Amino acid sequence: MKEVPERRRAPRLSWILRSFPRSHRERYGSEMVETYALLEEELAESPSLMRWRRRLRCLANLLWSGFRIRVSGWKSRIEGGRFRTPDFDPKKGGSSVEQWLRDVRYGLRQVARQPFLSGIIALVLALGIGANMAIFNFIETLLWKPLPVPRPEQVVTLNLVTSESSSSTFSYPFYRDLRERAQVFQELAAHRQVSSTLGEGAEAVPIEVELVSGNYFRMMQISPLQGRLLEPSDDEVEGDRPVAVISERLWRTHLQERPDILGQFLYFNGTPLEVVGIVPGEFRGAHPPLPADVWVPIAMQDAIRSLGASREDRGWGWLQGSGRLREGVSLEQARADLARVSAQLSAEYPRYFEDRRFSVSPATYMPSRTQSLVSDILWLMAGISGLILVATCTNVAGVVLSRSLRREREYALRRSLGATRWALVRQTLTESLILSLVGGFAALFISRWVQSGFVGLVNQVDRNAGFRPVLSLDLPTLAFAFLLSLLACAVVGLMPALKNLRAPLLGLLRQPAGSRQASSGSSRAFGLFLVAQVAICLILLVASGLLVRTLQKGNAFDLGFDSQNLLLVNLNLKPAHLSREAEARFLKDLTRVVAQEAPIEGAALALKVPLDGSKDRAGFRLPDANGEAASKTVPIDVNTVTPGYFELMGIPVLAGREFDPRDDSPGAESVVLVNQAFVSRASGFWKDREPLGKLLQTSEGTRFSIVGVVANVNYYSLGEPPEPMVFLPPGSVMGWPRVLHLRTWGEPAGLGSLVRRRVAKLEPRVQIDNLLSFEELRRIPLLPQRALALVSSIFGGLALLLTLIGLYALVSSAVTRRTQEIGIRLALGAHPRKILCGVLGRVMILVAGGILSGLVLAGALSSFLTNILFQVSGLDPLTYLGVAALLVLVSVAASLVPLRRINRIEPVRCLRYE
Amino acid sequence: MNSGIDFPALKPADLEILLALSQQDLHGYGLMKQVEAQSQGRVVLELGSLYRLIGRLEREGLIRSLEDEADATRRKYYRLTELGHRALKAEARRLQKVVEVLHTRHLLEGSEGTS
Repeated sequence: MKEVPERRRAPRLSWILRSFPRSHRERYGSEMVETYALLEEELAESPSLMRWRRRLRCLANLLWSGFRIRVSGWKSRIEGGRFRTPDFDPKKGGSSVEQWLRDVRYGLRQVARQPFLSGIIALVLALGIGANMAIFNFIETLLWKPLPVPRPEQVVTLNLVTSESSSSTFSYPFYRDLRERAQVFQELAAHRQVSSTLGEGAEAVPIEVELVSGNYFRMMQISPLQGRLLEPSDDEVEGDRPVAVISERLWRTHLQERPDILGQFLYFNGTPLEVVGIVPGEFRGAHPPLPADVWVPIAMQDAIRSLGASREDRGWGWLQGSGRLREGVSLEQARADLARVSAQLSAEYPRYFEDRRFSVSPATYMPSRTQSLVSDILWLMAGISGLILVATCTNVAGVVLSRSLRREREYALRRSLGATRWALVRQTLTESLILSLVGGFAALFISRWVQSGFVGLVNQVDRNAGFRPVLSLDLPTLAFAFLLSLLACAVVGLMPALKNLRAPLLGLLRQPAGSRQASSGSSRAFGLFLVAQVAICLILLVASGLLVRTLQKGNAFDLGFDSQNLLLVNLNLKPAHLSREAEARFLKDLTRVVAQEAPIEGAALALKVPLDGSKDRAGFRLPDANGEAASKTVPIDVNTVTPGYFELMGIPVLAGREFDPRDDSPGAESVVLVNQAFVSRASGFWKDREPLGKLLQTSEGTRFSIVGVVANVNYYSLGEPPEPMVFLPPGSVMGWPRVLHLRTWGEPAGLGSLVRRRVAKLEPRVQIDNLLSFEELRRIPLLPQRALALVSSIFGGLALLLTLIGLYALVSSAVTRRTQEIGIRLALGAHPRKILCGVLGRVMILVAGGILSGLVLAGALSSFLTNILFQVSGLDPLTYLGVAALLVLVSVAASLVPLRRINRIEPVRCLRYE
Repeated sequence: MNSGIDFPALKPADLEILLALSQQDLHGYGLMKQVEAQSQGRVVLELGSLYRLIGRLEREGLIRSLEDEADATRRKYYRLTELGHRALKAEARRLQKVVEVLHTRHLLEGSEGTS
């Protein structure tokens, strides 16, 4: 045994020993200090330089060892020690966790080495993933999610199907019949959402009210948060029980959580209703994205809507239905049962129920009215964002591939030093994974941004929609985003990784550093990426081109009247509770008063506004060959207008005369005007083909004589063929119209406050629901197109930019790769222009391939757009040729920039490498 | 009994420590010097590495510590355990096999001349 020298002093090691784990310090710490003292003693005689070198080495080793113990301790916790694991493989060069950690560390270093490029890649991926994620979240929430009620699979929506169309509204008596006769429902409820106001006078705020049958909440299986919900007894006698239940949201926000709210009276459209209960927050009515805040029994409908109509009117179809099927009843069984009841009803009420039947479909989160619009837009957006994801992935794949080509020598070197091919593939994939996960994370934020934009857009399309969907980043959406990230990683990373797998080893190492030749495989891959990018770019640009042309055509479309400087004011007279006479007086006075204002040229009232899309029809008996009313009733669109309407609108009166104020006076003959479409449809039956003086009769028996014919106007949507229409004077059948039309001398935008003042002066309780110029209104039907045009233009522009970058990189790397060859050819006397044309030609072949495949694909895909295109063919040659030409021009420009370098190549310098 | 099958190949530094302790029990400083001496200066263990390896070998049960009552400084000594002996023998056998293979392939013959 060796003699141990005496300990002289204990050097201060304690701080450096902290690099060791505590357990190690406790066990060996004091011993290490002593051993260090012995070492110091040993060094005491050596020269100071050597002493310090030894000391430093010792200290560095201490730090390093402490770190290694910590790492291995962590590792053995994961994997167990080497002598205790029976399946330990001594051949392995480190554990898989260690390898993976090494890959991640190395990957992070590589990513951080080019922060700008990595940032761009992650951002581009984030855009692609984020857009797709937002759309997925929408589709999942709005189209796939069930109603937020217990057992939602049992709940169905009732539809009324005719041979021509499907609608969802029916009258209360039919609802009652169906409820009594159908056997498949546990409960069948009727409901109708209407806009109303909460509060009185100037403080009233707009609010959505759902008029519901008494069993509505029992059908939905909702229990109250406070108080009670509506019950069948609340809905038995019309106007009997002025009660309401309110949403938790309304209670918490607008009513500041008043504890004494139960039993209080709130004013809805001027009618006081007693609050009897609060509905818990997650329930938002039958149409969750358009949430209701108040539920009122159908028996109170007249108090809320002031239409002066009884719910017992069998011909008044205004209710929607939802039912809960009995346990074990399938949709088919329910439909069969409803068909049986419908047959009975048709037999009993041929006048109202001929050729109609009830049917059911599963209740969805989105009401069917909005669903078709939203789902069309959503699926198109899904397509567009899917394309942009493919474009971004191929672009990034190109960048990553070119980066990995630059690192080919590094890979070859590492393989020659013993790294396996798999290790290198794993390494490349790890790098792509890091980038795509960073992109996926950033996508979370981008998707929120995309979504809020979309919600705003839907609300712009339909101002009354009140579209407030509950969107959350739920598990499926996050899983989808993660999946997309992995997919992106696979697309982006796999190609370069596989490239490594096949790379010839020795050839690469032998090449001098400056003269790398990309293998034919990688140029093929580059070419393929470019073709794909050009094709996708073309598809997106064609889509945006077609939509822009649609917008142009839509805006230039002649609607049949003068749409400039027209202000529309939607009056809500319900809160005023005026009698019919007082209403008529108020409206007449208002029209007269505002028409006298300086900036206003004229004023008139009408029931319908062009392009508003709604249809109001009344049954008429047409004149027969003798000019007398025929026996058969046909539904015809009606519009009620005041005298001066046609002149104000600039709608030409083709024959006869317009209404005049005397038509309204007592004892005057009842008169109507009809449009051209009416004449061309009906005059076939008439001997003299002369419409003037012919008689029309309503189903109630009122007779009208036709005194004028006016030109056709599009009242429904752009470009729809004009339907026959009858214009009635005010007060005759439909009551007084409530939309004030004002022709202004200049821009109508600033006149809102003037009109509001005049209305308030005449009758302060009257509210203005909506006030907008016709030019604003005109944009609304085309908003889906506008939105898609915007999205496809933005993405198309992005794709174009990506293509430009890809093209530039391709040409630039081609020139760099072939510098030597070009130098030799120049030295042998070739003209630079010829070489330039050669390279350009090869690139253009790729671009042409992309354009051709893009044209074919765009043509095939254009059928998805035909529904929303207006007066533009899905195969519009102008758009296709224009986009193709643009791409060719841009490609040539992008290629010429790097190609100019050919002119600067000096043959002598290139040859030096040989 | 072929106990070598259960043991993975030892790392060079581990082998040196087990080898040093197979002769006598040693404390840390002594072990350091012995390893340096027996490897003729090829293996120099720094303080941190020494105690990292001691810690690991002890945890794996190849060596154990014993307090030496006779030593005034109450320094810890380390001793090879039974498992340590077997691991060392297994390693020796493994190395022997390697040397045999090298012999049969005549790979050791020229090496002395060239070095």
